[in-house]
Amino acid sequence: MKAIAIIFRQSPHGNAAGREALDLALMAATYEQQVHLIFIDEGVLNLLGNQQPELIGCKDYIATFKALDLYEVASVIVSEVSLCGFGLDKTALVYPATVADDGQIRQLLEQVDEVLVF
Amino acid sequence: MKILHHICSSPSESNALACALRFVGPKDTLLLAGNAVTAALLPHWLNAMDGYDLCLMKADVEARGLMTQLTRFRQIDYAEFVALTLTHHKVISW
Amino acid sequence: MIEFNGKQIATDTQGYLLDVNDWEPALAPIIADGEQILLTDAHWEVINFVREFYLEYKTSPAIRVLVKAIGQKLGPDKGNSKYLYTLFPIGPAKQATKIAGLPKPAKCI
Repeated sequence: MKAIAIIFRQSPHGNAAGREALDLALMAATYEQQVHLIFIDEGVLNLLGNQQPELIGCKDYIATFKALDLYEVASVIVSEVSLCGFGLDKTALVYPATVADDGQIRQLLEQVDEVLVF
Repeated sequence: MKILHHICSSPSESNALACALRFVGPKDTLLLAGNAVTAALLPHWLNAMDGYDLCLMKADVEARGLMTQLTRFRQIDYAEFVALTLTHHKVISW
Repeated sequence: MIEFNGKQIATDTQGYLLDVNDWEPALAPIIADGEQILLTDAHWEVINFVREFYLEYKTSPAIRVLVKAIGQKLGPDKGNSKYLYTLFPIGPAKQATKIAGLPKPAKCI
């Protein structure tokens, strides 16, 4: 088993990055890998509630974040700096992610076997 | 822990370099490849990268005709890139 | 393509509906027939479950997740592969989602 960190660093819906990152996360978790999701910079916007991507012809993968516990991912981390930068807090999120500072995120990047950035 | 940060897009194209710089550690290496080599021309980004081990993909510098402008930076070929991946604990491609 | 009540309902080459909104309960026995499954209340319990799962999470559950989620909701005697394979011999995730009018799960394990 490998520990994998998957970083979301881009806004949702403008391209396929967020959906692909989530697909990979669920796939890896299904294969019983230890999966950590990390949301930084504009990537934190993936976790916002009340999104309606179907209005602009995009698949609503955001709803799937709510199922992360069933997939037994190891952790879901959201950057405090990035959240604050957009004037957001935890209550706006569709999944109760753990809020972490950059130092804590760096530690996690050191601990895992692989880091994949989307 | 030494991490090799591999950055492939320029600062105006994406937040790749900005993100790498948020999590870079003192022993890490920053490798600018593709359009990212242009970051080494920009004072703001040079300042942000100051103090870190920095290198550029030689082919990407030469392809863009930036040899004289970027001559003071360490430039590596593909074989050296591979060697770098072996001397670091992990590679993050931003 | 499925003929139903004089309508043509579009499917992919494997028989999964292309649009989840085309589905209605009366369509389920017709799709199930193609899978050689005669629907019982036990089947319906799983079919309704996967359909609700999809409508909430916008994804078809892979088998491992299906087993876990059903176990949480319907109890451990139903939340296990053996029980689900008895109902859907080819594969619960594949067959239950198809009969429920959902897209094929991308992760069929």
